[in-house]
Amino acid sequence: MNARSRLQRLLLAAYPPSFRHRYGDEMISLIGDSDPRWRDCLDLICGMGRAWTAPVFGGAPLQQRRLRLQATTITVLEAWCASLLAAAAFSKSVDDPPLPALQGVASTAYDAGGVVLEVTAAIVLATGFCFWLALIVPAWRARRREVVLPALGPALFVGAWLGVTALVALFAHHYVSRANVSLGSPRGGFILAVLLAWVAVTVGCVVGCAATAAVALRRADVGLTRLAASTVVAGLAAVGVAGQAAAGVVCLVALLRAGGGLQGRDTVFGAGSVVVLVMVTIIAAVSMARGLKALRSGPPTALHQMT
Amino acid sequence: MPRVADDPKWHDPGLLVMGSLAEGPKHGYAMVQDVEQTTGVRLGPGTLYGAIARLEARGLIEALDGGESRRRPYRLTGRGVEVLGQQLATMQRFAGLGRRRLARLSPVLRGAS
Repeated sequence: MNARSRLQRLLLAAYPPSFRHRYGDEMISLIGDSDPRWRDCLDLICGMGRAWTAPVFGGAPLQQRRLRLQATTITVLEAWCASLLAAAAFSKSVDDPPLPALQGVASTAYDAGGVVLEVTAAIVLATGFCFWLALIVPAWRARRREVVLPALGPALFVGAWLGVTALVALFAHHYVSRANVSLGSPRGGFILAVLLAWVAVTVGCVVGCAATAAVALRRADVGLTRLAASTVVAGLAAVGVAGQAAAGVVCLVALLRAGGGLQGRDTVFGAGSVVVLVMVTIIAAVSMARGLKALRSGPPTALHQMT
Repeated sequence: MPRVADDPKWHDPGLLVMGSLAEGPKHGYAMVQDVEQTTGVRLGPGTLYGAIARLEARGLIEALDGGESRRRPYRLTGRGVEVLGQQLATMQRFAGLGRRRLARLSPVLRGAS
């Protein structure tokens, strides 16, 4: 196998899971039979873009609806997780320490974004926990390890993050506060390293939660009724993401107009976070629109045929 | 009922795939070879399977059991035969009309030059 064949297989691995599951073996066979060309690599990249942005689901109409709702639930879940990280980065850049210009419209928008985030998080986590139980309990009873193992992922990642965060909090309380060490002091490098490690663990845990939850949902072959319910919750999450993005844009514009607000690195972080929020809002909105179309496209009775 | 606007056009790889399958069931590699030999167009793996996925989702082609082999053959469905026939008839009418118009235009152009 030469470099081009290896690259083609690597590109194939980046296709959406449903597409890979359906056509992956056939495409590997085709790549193996054909003379590897660089143009085919470009073709795979273009095909991958189309497969992600305009996914097509095969099978019977009910199966197509099921896969569409599943894709919407997973996409919005991942968009919501990304919005959490972006909101945290935005908060760090404007509120740690609080900027002098964070008042008036900027402050109102910032607070509103925080409320939207908390309400959405409460809804997503509460319903997510119920879905998680409804998924893992039957899988556990049926000894479906291929579902149970990824389904345990979110719980393990949340536990790991809480453990690491507790250790960092203890470190901050006993080492940084008592020893009166600041980032500017000789030991500041060590503190910075601990903080950066904590940020990396946080990002890793959020990504891990989203990824393992998505894998568990795909493998569990969840029925159409539950997926319809999860799509409704995903709709609320998408509204929350959009609310956060709107609040972020208003807050950022107000800070920039106030002058003397965001400066240097904080401007980059703040603007970058808002750009991420807007992008995930667009992704969630497009996916939700497709999910709602699939939800409306069939008779209500059809929902009960695949539970 | 899918929209007619979604039906494959001449420039659409979907039409090339359907035209190839009009000869009989074929797997991916055989389709690539057939399309290249008959039209000179080489379908890349991403384009080919993107087209196959869209055609299959619209019920114009269907997969056959490939047994143990990873090469799964496809064939046209009844609706696929109907849609391909309509497309080819439209293209034939357009080609005939275009030729007649060109034939009338050619003497004028020759006179102008």
